[in-house]
Amino acid sequence: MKRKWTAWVVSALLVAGVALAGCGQQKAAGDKGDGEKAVAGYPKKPIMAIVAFPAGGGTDIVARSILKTAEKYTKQGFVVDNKPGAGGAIGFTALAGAPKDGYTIGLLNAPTLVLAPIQLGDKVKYKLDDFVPIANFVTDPGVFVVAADSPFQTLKDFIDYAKANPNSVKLGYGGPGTSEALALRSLEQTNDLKIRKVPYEGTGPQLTSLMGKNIDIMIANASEIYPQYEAKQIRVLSIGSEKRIDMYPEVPTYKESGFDYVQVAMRGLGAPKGMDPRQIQVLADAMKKAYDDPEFKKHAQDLHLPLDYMGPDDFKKELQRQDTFYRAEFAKSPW
Amino acid sequence: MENFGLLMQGFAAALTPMNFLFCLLGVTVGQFVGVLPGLGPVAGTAMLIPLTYGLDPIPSIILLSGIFYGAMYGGTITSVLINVPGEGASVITCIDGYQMAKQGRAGHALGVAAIGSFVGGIVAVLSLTFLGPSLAKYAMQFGPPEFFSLMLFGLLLLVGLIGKSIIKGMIAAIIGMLLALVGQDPGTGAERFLFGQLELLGGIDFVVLAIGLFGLSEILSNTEENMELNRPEKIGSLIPPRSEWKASLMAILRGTGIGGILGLIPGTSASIASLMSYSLERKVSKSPDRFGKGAIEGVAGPETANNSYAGAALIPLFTLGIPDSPTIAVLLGAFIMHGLTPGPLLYQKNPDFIWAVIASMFIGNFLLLVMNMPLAKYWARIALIPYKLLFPIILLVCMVGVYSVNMSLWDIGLTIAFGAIGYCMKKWKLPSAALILSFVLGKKIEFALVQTLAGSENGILVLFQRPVSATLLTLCGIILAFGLYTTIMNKYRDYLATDETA
Repeated sequence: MKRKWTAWVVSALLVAGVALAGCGQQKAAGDKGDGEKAVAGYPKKPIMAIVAFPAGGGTDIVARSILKTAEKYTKQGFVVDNKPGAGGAIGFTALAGAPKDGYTIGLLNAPTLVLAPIQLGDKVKYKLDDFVPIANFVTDPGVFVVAADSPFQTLKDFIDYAKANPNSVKLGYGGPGTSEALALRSLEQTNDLKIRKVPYEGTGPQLTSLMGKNIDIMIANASEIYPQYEAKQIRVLSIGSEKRIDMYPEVPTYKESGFDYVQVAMRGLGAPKGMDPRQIQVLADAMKKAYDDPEFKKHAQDLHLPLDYMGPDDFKKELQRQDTFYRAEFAKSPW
Repeated sequence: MENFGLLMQGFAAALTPMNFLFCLLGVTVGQFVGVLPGLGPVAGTAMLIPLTYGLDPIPSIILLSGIFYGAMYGGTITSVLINVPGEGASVITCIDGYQMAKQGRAGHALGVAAIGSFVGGIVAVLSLTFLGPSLAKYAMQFGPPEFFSLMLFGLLLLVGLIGKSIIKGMIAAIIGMLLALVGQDPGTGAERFLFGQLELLGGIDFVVLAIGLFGLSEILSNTEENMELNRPEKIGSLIPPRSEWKASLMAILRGTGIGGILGLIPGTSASIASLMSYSLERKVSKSPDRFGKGAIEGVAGPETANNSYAGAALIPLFTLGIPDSPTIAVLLGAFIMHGLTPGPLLYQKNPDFIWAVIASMFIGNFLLLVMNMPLAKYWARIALIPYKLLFPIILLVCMVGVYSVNMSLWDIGLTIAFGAIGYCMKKWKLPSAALILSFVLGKKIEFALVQTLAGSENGILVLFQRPVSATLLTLCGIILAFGLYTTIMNKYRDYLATDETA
């Protein structure tokens, strides 16, 4: 008899739980419609931020640190929702299709966001036009890196050697279809090089291989190699930003090294298209304030983040520039 | 002995009430994460990172690393009791652990696993303390060719090891390899077997496959049997009978070694450590036919190896700043969030931090042992819950676990599909374990081969030109030749025997 009683209580609790969850959803749906009210006093409840990469990764770290500071200015919390998979495409698709009530935004990673629709076409269920940029926070340039005792002192040393000895230099990179692969493709085409390109999953194994002499040189993101750079275990030959950056003051840009190319990974914030422009303005203002906040600046420095602020318009222009550039590259020859 | 003094200071820091509490919390959560199928240490650590933002770095990292090694203890429990691996590294424990539970020896299995985990964990932390930096340097020499040969060696050891028929083992292993091909070609980026589904671009998730093949199929096949099975009433003592002490001890020592070495090598995982240990135990055993029927070494070895791996894998992170497995990568993220930069300078710049964390790992492993020995008795009572209540709970937990990995409903659908496949495989007596192991190794073997060839001037020959790789490949050749020889001789003997009787 006692057993039956327990079963009843458990089922009753379950039913109650399901019913409650259902009510919550109905309420959320009801908020969507009334436009004018939505802006006055926006945001009224916590905002969900979709991150298309796993918790603890580079994008996640940027998202959590800026959003934590931004809470001061929005007076509402942010809830980070990690939706990783398919190189970010799953999360971006979720953001593109999210409710436009102002309570779902997401992190935009360029050029990853730009590259997937170009390369995969219809298989990707979002377009660049589906997003409205809010702000960019970090521009992480690509870097060519060698071990401390490598004979290559400059990017030119490497190019000259690779030219004289085709198919002999081993270079570690993030695998086909990445922005690194495209930079290398351009480097090989303009200098008529043949490099042995070894794919790696992540910067960690790449660094191990570099220090263990299994590769001669590698290409990675500037923020990911700072500890080893600081410990003087590696040297940075050249950096893919437009201008030199504070983190690596003595490192020349690709352009200065004779390679006319810009290779950067950007991490910013965006909203699904169709969200009220006034809501976007509220968030853009809050993000600007958070970006200028000493708390965030300090945090970013601890995290070795190459900061680079862009407002909604500048960020949009940059995304479009990348889109045009990579479409032209793809038209020349697909990757 | 300078390190010893520093370690003592570390203990002083780790034993402050606050840090001790977080250590206790970490290993407890870790144990639960390990018990819940699908929720592995990767997901567990990732989910708790946000909770640590408000904390100081030392308690945060103590908490998060506690989850990591605590999960290795917890994973055993469901493997042994209900044949559902709590996390990847405990897949292999299902084979003999569940058999032991069926024979009413669940207590022995859990007991020996807890002791082994403790030994493995402590030895690994000791080497982190005293040998860390020099070991890590040596492991860096391990490049793609060596890695390829090591994985191939591992795979060869496994083929035909599981299940009764070698042919059926091979069939399952090849299906596993095929599933490993889904996704993108690591060399060219070409899409393979996507069938228009973007969700498959990143490949099939290990958790999805493991939960489907083991968890769901186990439930399906059990429900069609008599729901009121005769179950052992007693869990039995936790300490194995004296006759098994020596065998268990040797397995624990070997497991410690394997886990410790593999932990240093980039690209490996705790699952690989546990399955390598299982193969080794079976190879060195005087009576290999006991394996699969409840051999205690089959539990003791792998469970030790995955714990020793968890400790050793922290060495490359602490000393080089290099994460060599997914969980460690999440942990690296946590370090960075707290403004700590793991790497060569960590020992110099933040000695109080690093020694407190190392000391907490001694304490954590001890806590886990203390918690596990008496608790194992209560855990083991799970096996006494009637199936009709137990199965719906397991099903729910499995699905929540799968969903938690990528927050994706697609994964749940895929898990159900693999559940159906796993059920059919059971009916056809195809060993699921062979499939899943070749799936794990297959991905890594392919990637290492692509890397080897991309970086080699002599094509495939480089595998034979590098000493470590060449040695491993020679061992592969010997295993193959020996296997062939014994198979042929057995057939021949059978033939002679039938001839005589005829």
